[in-house]
Amino acid sequence: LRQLGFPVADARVGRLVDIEVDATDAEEAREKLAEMCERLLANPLIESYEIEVK
Amino acid sequence: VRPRVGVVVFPGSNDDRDALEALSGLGAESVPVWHGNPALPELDAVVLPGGFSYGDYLRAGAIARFSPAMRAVGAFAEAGGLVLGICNGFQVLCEAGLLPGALRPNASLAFVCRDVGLVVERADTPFTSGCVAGQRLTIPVKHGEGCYVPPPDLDGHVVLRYASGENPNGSAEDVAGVVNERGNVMGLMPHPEHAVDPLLGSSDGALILRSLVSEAERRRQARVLGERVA
Repeated sequence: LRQLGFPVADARVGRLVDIEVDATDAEEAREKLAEMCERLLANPLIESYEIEVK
Repeated sequence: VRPRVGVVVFPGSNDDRDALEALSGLGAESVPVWHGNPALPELDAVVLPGGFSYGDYLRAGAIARFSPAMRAVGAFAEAGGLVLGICNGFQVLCEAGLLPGALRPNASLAFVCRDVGLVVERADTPFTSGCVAGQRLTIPVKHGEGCYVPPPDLDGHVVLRYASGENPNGSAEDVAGVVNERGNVMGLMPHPEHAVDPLLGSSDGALILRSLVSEAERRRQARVLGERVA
C-alpha cells in the first residue's frame, strides 16, 4: 500500500465470518454466535472477536 | 508382549506413516486409528501425528479437536493414558485444551524446515525418561505455525526448549515442548519420528519415542498381569 502512495502506518489481515443463524430475535442470535466464537471460531488465548448482528 | 501404540490419522495428516514406522522400529505394535472412529482399540499409548489436519483451516488443530477419535483420545487422557502430539498433533492437543497454551504462525511468517538444537528441561516425564535434564538433542522442525503462546502460568510444564539462538518460530521462552499437569500428555513441535536413525541425520528423536514405548510397555505388562489376576 505504501508502494501505491497511501499513508499507511500499519496493516494486518484479519478474518471475517458471515454466519446465517436461525433465531427468534437478535439477542438469541448474539448468544449463539458468542458460543460459536468461544468454542470454535476464536481461541481466546490468542484471538479476540467482535459480533455484529444484522 | 509388544505395547500397542495408536497413531490417529486425520484427513491431511502426513507424518502418520513415519510415526507408525518409527514406533514399530522401536518395539511397539503401532496401529493407525482413523479420525472418524468414535472408539479407540485397546491401546497403551496414543500419538497424534504431524501434518495439516482438515487443511489447517481456521487455526491449526481447531477442527481436528472435534473429530470423533479426539473425543475418545480426550477420555483416554482423562483416564491417565499416554498421549504424545507431534507438530500438528501438538496444535490439536492445545486446541482441545489437553495441553496449556496455543500455537500461532511463526514470527517470521514463513514455513521453517530444518534441524534444530533442543535442550531437555525435564527428564522426569514418560516421554523423556531416556534423556537427562540439560541434554542437548538435534531434531528437525517443519512447520508454519509453531510460535508457542503460553498461558499466564506455565511453571513446570516446559519439557523441551530450543537451544540458545536456535528458536525457529518466535516461541515464548524458547518453548519447544510442554507436558500437562498430570504428566501423561505431551506435545512438541519438533519431529522425533524423523530422527530415529543416523541415516536421517540424527537418531535423537528415538530417545523420546523409546521413552514413550518403554512406559507403554510397562503399562502393557501391568494390564496383562491385571487380567491374569482377574
